[in-house]
Amino acid sequence: MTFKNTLLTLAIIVFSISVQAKLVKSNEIFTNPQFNNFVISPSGQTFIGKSYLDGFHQLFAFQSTTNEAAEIFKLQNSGSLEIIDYNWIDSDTAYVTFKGNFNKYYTRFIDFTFKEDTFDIDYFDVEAIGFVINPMSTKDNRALYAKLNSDDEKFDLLEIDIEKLKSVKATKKNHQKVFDSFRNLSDGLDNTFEFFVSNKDYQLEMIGQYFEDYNTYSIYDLNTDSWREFFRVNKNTNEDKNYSRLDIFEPVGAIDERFIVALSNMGRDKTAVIKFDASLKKEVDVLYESNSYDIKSATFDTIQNKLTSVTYVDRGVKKQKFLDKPNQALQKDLHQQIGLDSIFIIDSSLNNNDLVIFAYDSTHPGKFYHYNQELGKLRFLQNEMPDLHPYTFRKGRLLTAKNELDNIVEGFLFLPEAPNKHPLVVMPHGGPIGVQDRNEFDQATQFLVNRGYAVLTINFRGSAGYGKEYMNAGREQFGEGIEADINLLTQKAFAHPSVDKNNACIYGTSYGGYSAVTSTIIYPQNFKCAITAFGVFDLPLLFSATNLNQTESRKDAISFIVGDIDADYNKLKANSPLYKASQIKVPTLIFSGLRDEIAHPEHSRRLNYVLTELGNTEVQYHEYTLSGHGHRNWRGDIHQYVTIVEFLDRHIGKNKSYPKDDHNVLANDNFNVGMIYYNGTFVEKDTKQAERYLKLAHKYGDDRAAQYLRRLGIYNF
Amino acid sequence: MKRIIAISAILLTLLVTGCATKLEQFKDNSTLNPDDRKGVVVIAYESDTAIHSLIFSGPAKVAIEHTLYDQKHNYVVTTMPAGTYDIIRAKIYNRYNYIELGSDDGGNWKVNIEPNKINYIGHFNLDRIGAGFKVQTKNESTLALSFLKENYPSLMNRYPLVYAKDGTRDDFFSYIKTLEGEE
Repeated sequence: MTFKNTLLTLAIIVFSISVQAKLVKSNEIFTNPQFNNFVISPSGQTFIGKSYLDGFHQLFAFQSTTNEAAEIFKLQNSGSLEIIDYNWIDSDTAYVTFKGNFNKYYTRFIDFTFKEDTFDIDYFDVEAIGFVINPMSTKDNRALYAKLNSDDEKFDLLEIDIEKLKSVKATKKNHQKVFDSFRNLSDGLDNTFEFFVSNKDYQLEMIGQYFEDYNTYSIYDLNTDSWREFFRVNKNTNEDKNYSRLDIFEPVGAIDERFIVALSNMGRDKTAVIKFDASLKKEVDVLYESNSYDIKSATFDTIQNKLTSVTYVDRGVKKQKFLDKPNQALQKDLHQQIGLDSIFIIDSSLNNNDLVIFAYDSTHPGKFYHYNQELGKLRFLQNEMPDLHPYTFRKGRLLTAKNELDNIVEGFLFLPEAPNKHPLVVMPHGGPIGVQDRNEFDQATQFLVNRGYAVLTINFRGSAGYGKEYMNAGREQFGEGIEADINLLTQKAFAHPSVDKNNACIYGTSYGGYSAVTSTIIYPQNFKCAITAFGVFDLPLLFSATNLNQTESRKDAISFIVGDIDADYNKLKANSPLYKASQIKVPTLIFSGLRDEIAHPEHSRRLNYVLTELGNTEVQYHEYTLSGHGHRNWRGDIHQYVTIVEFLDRHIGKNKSYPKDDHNVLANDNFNVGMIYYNGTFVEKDTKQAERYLKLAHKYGDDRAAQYLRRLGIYNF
Repeated sequence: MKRIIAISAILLTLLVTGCATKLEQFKDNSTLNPDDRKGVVVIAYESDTAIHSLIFSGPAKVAIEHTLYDQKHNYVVTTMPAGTYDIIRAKIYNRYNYIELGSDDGGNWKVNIEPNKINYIGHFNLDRIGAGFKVQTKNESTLALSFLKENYPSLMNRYPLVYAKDGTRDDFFSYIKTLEGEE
């Protein structure tokens, strides 16, 4: 099946005009990235990019010499349809794995025929749940493909020949016969879930296996022609555990049949890149470590047998550090040319001459570039969110303080552009264990800053990135040490001349929601209001919210974070803001998701019920009918954040006014929220609220609001 | 002939012991006889699939059938002999299709029915996932409390409301009672 592509113009325009800060529309910031990845062919001649435009998930391709791209694959944004993976197999063959209609999985193989600046494509689909593990870039039309073997509940690693698959009539049965004829590199191995393949000879050299009570990693021993297990994690909580929930051991690659490279914090505090002896089953060398931060990932060149780069989050900024001088020089050059904090090489041609660069920081959601090393030429490809280009966003300032455990607590203070004092929103993150806030572009933070609020994020004890001890220090600290850390940095923020310490509110999601409400009880002088989304307020209810949480494994998992419910029931109850609700004296805004299986909506309902019964303060409660532990649709975020800003404006931003130029943005936001109430899809239909928001939208100049107000029978607007 | 009678007697016994007792709706103005040692039972259903009945095994084998649904709400208010029960089966669509439950089968399906109290068991939740189901009892005490206050005010005045699901204690209802006492 061949078809000619209609050439589409890829808007590759480098904007250089700096625009003054202006209000961003909620639906422009709370949306999917329009462009979210680019990959380059092994020859370096052709790119494939992924976009989300006009309700379609698309793949488009273009040659490095042109500005014109052609759509090569498209999926409607409906139901569960999604692009799972795509990449090049060789310089004229690509693949895309996707979930199609009726929850069926397919891999499409796409052949390119190039003609000067254009190309034709030819494709065929194979129905199978599988992923390309290694494109075998030096072999035409070959790839290592991990295919689900549902009979044996494992993945088979097959060396597929695309021409053979293409040669048969395209039916599932025919393709299965062809699959059965391919060499199975994992033949005889049970429960395989992870494969490590050598780039030298494409041999399978390490595997991960998943069993009911434990997971294992094994290495192939050439001498004995057998697999040797070198790492096992027992999962069964009733047996001796060799592994804490905070331990990390992730193989990166094999050096040879004895030694491997892994990320590990076993027997150490910070996650480091280590050399591990698979025979002796122990760490023998540290290849890279940081005194302050966990290493998040590493790249190991199996051909040159050396560690080439590591990534870690340094003072909130994710960095890729190259360990060889040429790449370090390249990165320095790219930093100077691009000017953003985080710069990553995300793909390269086979000869490493052509690179795909992704750069971002807190002021920018991300930009993609093509860099040709030979020519030293950097070419802008696309912004991740082009619609946000007209707006300016703010970088966070690092705040640090030492807590009573002698830990340095990091936080990031984001200040609006205007020089005056700003009301403050303290935003503790969820988790609380193993989550890390970064000084990177965050839609919620930047939206609030854009609306004139200073925002403080905090990596309190328990946060990830600072070592195991720091994470461990946050366990069982609900309403105790964690809130003390938050207070510590709140005081630091209050001391900043641009922060109005008399007008602060605390807002968080999940654990952050708990912390927001709890902090108003422990530190009542700090905050004038609290906002909580998908929060927990009754700690024993974490265990009793569903009978499924009564299994030993779930109880164990919750207890690890919160504390032992059987031994410490009274302590958990005492640290539950629900049972101290009479001490909540500030206006409280509550959001919950009816499909939330983590922080069940019962938590929020209870808090709303009790605060309403007590009548000590204003309480505003919103339930999202289709949301779980967060929103699945951006309409939920739009409603949530427009409501939050309205609440903040009433309680800590009273003197705030919006210039006339921004009224169209306010009109748009109010119209969107009005329509959410009007349609009643994401929140319960509420014609009174619809009327209120649509009237506001109309007041700010949105003519669309008038027709819906009339449909509600309202003419006096 | 004797043999036939004997077999019939065995079959009759099996039928009698195999059948679950059907329960009846309990109205707002109904009262419990304290000597019967029965508890009022409240359960709600949240399901994307038609539930025929829930089978409880304990001091008696009882079935809460779909015919007991309040026509306006998704709640069943009925009575059961006090004691500890295990929810062992959810019959879906009709009496012949069922999902095996029970505390030996993963999850805690036990409920403790206290005499002369309103025992809220939970919201029985059944969600179709692919070809299977996710089944659980959710603790949605606030919804149950609001429902009972609105629809069973007299009952709420006469009997204390307790959370009857076995497992971690839940003090919410007693906390609300304390708050109401403070008003």
